[in-house]
Amino acid sequence: MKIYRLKATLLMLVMCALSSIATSANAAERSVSHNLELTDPNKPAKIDVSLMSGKITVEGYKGKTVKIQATVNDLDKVKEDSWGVNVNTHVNTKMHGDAGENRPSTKGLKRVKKTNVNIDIEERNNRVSIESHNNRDSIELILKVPFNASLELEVNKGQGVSVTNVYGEIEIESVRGPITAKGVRGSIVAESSRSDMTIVFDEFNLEKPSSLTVHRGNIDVTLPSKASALIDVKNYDGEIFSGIEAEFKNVDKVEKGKSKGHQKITIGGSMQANLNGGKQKLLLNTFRGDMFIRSK
Amino acid sequence: MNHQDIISQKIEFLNGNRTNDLSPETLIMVKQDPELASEIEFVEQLWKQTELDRVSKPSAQMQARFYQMLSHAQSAEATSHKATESAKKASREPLLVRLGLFQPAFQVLLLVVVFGLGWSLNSNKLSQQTDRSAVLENKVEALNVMVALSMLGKDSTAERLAGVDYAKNVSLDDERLVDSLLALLNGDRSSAVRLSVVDVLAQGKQHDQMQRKIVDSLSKQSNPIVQVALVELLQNYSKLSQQQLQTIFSNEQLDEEVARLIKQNFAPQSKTI
Repeated sequence: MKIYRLKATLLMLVMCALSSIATSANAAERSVSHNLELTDPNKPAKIDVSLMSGKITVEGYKGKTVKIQATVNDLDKVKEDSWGVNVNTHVNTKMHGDAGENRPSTKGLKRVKKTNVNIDIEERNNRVSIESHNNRDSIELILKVPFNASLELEVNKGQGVSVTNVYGEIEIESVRGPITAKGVRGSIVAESSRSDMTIVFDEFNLEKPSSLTVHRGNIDVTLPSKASALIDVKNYDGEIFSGIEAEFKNVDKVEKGKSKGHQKITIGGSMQANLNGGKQKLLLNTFRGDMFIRSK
Repeated sequence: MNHQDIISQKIEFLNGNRTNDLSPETLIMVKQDPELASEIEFVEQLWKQTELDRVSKPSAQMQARFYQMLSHAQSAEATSHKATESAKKASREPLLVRLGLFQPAFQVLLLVVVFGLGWSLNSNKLSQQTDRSAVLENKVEALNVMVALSMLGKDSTAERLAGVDYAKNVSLDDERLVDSLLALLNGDRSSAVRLSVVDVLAQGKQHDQMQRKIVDSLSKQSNPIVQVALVELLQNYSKLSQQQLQTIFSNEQLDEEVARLIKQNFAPQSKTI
């Protein structure tokens, strides 16, 4: 059994592996790349990524290793750039609570920029785990993985997740950022709290159900015209736009009027469309947002 | 008269063709001749023996009367044969026979008997088969529960989703299954799984304990989609108590729209919430 464990700081990498490090001119941005070999290159890999903040981009390719490139930005810089929020990049006494008010003087001192990247990478029997619990930096992670890899991606805040041409099973959770997945062939379960989701299936997997959930945001899904899917839609506040050759019907039992002393009403409701026999389920859920269901 | 003539008279007498036996003069002659006496004695013994085996024949008059009577009887029988025969049959044979329905009736009766016998035997078999079917169904149901439990415990969200979907076709009488579903409802990281669990629980029995568990779960849910689904589910139950409503509204992540729906539907007269 082959185990890789890489817990590196940028400083260590500069000292030990200059060739694998590229430090940008911008002091607020650091980048590191690594080519990870799998225990058994002939078997599918399972890639598990968890970031506190940032963006995850995964692209399937013909190779048999996992190529990892991580770029770290100060979260303050990211906030200025992408959120348009002017945040004091120097000492923020409020962040330190009561202790900050009695902070010693910084007069005559230079602020030393933190240059470390806290990313844990572990490989065990083709199962790759990449994690960062760094809450102060935004990490842009770009991965190239074998086509048949499976993914489990989670990012708490930041710019979301993008996946292209990965054919294994995919799970994505992006709390605040958007989710985009194209060239999907396996089952996919994706969930976003506050951003839109765009999913394009190359093939619709019949072995396991797929599910797309957005709390507040739109879902845009494209299915092959020959996909055999039982599309189950729960949309409580939003419109449904369909371009598939199957009619959506209400499947909820609706009881109106009063019964046993309390009123029964229907909230939202569930709609269902049977596309080409509906051999596997595709669940689409939004609380507040529109749905666009396309065919290609 | 020689010996032969005397023996012939004796035989004729014995045979009924001569009314008088041998004359006294002939008897004296027989006594005087021992050889002749021996022959006459032999004839008498032989005739006695034959007499025992012989059936007495009717006389010629009797035969004539008999044949006359027979002739009358035959002529009378010829004229009234059909009527007599039918009358005799009518008095002796059952109605079905008279109506010509005996054979079909017998066939029907046979069918009824065979059917009854078959029914009796098959009813026993059916009851046995029913028992076996019930046992088989229980085994299949137990197997379904085990499969569902296994699928619900998978690491893969897609597989758990498949498990919840599988559980839709399994009876929720099994407490382990209900407990597993409730555990997923309260703890699964995927809203899709939790949402699917709500759909399954909607098919189960509605009782106070389940209502309490749903209220408890609603007080923990962060996803407004799941919150709304639980509110829908609660509408299948009786009215919520004030304490239950307070439990629900203690959820700081309760969506405002969901809170409005709850107030609208479960506490229409309450103005304090």
